[in-house]
Amino acid sequence: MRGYWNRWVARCEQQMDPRPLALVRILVPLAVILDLLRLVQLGLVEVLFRPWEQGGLSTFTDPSAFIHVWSPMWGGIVAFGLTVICMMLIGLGRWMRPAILIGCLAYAQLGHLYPPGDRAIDRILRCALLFLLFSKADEIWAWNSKPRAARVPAWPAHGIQFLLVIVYMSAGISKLAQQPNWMAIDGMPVLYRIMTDPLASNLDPADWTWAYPLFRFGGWSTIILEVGAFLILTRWCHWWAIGGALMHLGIAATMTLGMFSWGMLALYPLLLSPLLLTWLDRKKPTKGLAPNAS
Amino acid sequence: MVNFKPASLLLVYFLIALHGCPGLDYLGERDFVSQQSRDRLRRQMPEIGVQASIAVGAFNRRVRLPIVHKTAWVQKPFRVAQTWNLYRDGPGRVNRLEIWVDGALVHRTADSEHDWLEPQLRSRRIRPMVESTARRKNSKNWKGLSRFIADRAVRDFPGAEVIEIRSRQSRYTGGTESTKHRIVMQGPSWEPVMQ
Repeated sequence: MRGYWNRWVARCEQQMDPRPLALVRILVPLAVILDLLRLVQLGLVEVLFRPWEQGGLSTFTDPSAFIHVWSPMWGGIVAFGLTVICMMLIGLGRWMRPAILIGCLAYAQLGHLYPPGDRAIDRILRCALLFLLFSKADEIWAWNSKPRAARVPAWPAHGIQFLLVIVYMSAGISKLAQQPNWMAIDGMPVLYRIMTDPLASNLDPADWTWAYPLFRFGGWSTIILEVGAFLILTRWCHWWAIGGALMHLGIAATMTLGMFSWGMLALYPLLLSPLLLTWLDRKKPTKGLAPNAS
Repeated sequence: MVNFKPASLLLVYFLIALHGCPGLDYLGERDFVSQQSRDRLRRQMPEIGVQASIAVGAFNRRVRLPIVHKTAWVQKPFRVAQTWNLYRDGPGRVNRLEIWVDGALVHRTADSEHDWLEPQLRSRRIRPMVESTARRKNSKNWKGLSRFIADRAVRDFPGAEVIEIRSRQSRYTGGTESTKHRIVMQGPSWEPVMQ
């Protein structure tokens, strides 16, 4: 038992290159900011984040919503503004910790005020930000006066990886439990029904009936990938992540799920870190010197 | 103090794993309790699978869920509930939403010729409401969506008198499309009536 504990303690003390964490610190707030600014562009901020009595869209709010109590008219708008400002500060690496704390609270208030619009991706990103709260992700590529660290504690990255294992495996297993036809070898593929649903997809159901084998293969791959997400905790993590990235790019190309794919991909620098660091460290050819021919 | 961080992290991992436990987060308190649900299981799998499912359901009901209920307050301030049922299944029918203003079609889901309000209704935050309204009569938030559409229609079509939202449904493998239910709003009150 003591051996397991010592190994756990050693894992908690591991160090890592700060660049993958810093990339997540930049990309996650970027995804959230672009998502929120899209609401401004569509003119939806007021109708989404005001209570029903003030002209809002949702007939109910979550009991944990409190920001509208002091001002039903402006509470949600203030939470929206706070979220955007805090996400900018997190991305810049300026006052990162208070910005994550206040930003996550304000972001959560948006969800409490308008529960139907607060999706799994919002919760995943808030969880990831809460791990970053305890990290030293702001010690590189940041607008602050902190000394640049060569190595930082790795446990926040491990925490986010563990979260992703739970998210993907849970999604995969509940798919199989709800609908065993995900692995069927005949009939209408489940993925076809999902990816040609006019309410969420760009593909017309009538135009894609020829592609049943493609959707069936995609369905099997999705289940294998999601249920196999425990590979994230192994040395094959980056190979798994290539499959995961392809899946999210496919979703982004064919469906209109907003920031879902981009938000998930914002966490992938942690999964692809061996490839990413190799790419970042690649040596550039020295200019002005001809290669030695001899 | 040396063990504080590893112990705290272990607790966090434990809570994440318990709340979002793959396979169990899908189960409710009453699953596999009644004889009826056990018989349903028996039609789907051999007896050994049935017994395993009943044991898992009992563990979920007696051990996991009580801890989940007692620790649920932890996630509320940051709204980080750990349930990850992402796209378990697709819809059984093709559903589309149509909006008619004074008898003229102005919006139809995924129709580039009738795309009034398309970006707003496809926005990821409003789409869940559009989906539930299109799929189910008297869904949870149909009044909110109806008011939103009426407000925008009055602004974009001055002088409009009747606004109608129609839920259209068809089978995936062709067949005729039919109106499942509709919501009618008449000025000046624009009170939505489900039909």
